[in-house]
Amino acid sequence: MKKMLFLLGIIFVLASCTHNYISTEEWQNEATQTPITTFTQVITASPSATVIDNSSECLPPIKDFEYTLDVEPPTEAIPLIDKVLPSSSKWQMVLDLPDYSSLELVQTINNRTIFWIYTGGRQFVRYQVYGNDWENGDLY
Amino acid sequence: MIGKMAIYINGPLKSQLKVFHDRENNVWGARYSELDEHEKPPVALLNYYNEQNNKWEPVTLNLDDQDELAIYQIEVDQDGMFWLLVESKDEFLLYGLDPRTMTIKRHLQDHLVKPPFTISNNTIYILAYHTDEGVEPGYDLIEYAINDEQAVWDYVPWDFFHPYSDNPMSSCGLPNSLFVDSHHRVWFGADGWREATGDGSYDWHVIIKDPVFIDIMPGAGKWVWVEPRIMMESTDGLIWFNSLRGTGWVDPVKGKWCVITSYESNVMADRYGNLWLIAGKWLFRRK
Repeated sequence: MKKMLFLLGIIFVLASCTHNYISTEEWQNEATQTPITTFTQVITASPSATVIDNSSECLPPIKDFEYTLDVEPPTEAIPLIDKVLPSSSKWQMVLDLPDYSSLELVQTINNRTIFWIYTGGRQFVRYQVYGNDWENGDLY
Repeated sequence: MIGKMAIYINGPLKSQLKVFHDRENNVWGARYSELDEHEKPPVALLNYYNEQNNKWEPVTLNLDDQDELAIYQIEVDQDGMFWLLVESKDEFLLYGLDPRTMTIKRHLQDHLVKPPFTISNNTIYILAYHTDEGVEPGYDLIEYAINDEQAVWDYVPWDFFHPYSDNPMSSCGLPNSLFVDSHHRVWFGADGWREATGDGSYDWHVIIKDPVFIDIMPGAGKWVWVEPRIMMESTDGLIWFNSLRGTGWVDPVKGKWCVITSYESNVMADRYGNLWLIAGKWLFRRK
C-alpha cells in the first residue's frame, strides 16, 4: 500500500511538472491562438469597387503573431532585415539623390512639375521636370 | 542623373517646417514645433515662399503668443481656405485662415478637438473628446460643414483606439490619420472605418491587424506592431500608407495590405496622376 501511495505521489508530481512546463513551441502555439485584439467586423469588399491584382509586388511579413506584443521576445539575436526597394516591374527609378531624402511636396506650375525634397542637409532641394521628361529634369 | 549639384533653399530648416501649397500653387511653410529660441532669425508660425528671391517670408497672423504655438496639421479646402490645427500647451485649437485677406477665425470652440483631421467635400472630419455629464467619456467624430459652419457628431466605439495604449485618453491612443476615401468611408488610421448604410445609420468596421506591420523597434531590440499612416488614394482605388515597416497600399476590396518597399516614404501624386515616392536615395515613379 505504501509503495502504491509512493508511486502515485511520484506520478502526481511528474504530472504537475509536465503541466507547468511549456516548451517554446507550445508557448508559441498557444500565443498564436490568442487574438491580438478583439474585432467586430472583418475588412470587407465594397460592391462598387473593382478588383485589383497587384499582390506580386508585396513583401512578406518578417514575423507573424507568434506571441503577444507585451511579452519579451526570445533571447536569440534579432536578425538585421535587408532594405528592399520597390519592384522594378512597377516602379521607375527616376533620380539618384545626393543623400538621405524624403519627398515633401509635388508642385505643378503650368507644364512644370517640381518635387520638394528634404535631404540630409537639413534643408530642401527641388527637382524640376518639364512635361513628362521625368529623367531629364534639373536639381535647383 | 548622378552628380548633379543641388542648391539648397535658404531659410528655416526643414526640421521646423511642414511645406504645403495653396490652390494657386504657391508654397507655404508651417512651423510644427514651438519656436526654437536658438534659431536665428526666428522662424514664424506661418511662412510664404518667395520664388523670386528664394526666401521664406514670415506671415503676420492675428494670434496671441505665437512663439508658444505649433501648427500640428494644416489642410487646404477646395475654396483655398487654410485649416490649421494649432497646438497650444496641452490643447488643440482649430482655425480657418483666408490666405487672401489673412483673416483668421477659430472654429468648433465648444469642442475639445483632437488630432488628426481631414477635409472632404467641404466637410471637416475631426475627433473631439466629450466629458458630458451622465455620458461615458469618449471620443466623437465631428463632421463640420465649412459653408454653413454646422457640426454633427457621432460617438466613436472604443475599438477604434489602440488597445495597447495604457491610457486611452492620451493622444497616443488616437489614430494617426483620418482619411475619407472615394466611397465616403472614414478611415481611422488602420484601426477601422465608418461606412454609411444608406438608411441614415453607419456600420463601424474594425480591421484585423496585419502581421506585415510587425517590425523591430529601432534601438529597443524588440518586435513591435506599428500602425501604418494612411496618406492618399490613387485612381485605381488603392489606399497608400507608410509605416515603420515601409511603404505600401491596402486594397479595400480584398482587405489586402501590401508593403512594396521597406523604406518609409510619403507617396504623392502629380497632376497627371503619377505616383511618386523616395526609397534608398532614389526618387521613384509608379509605372
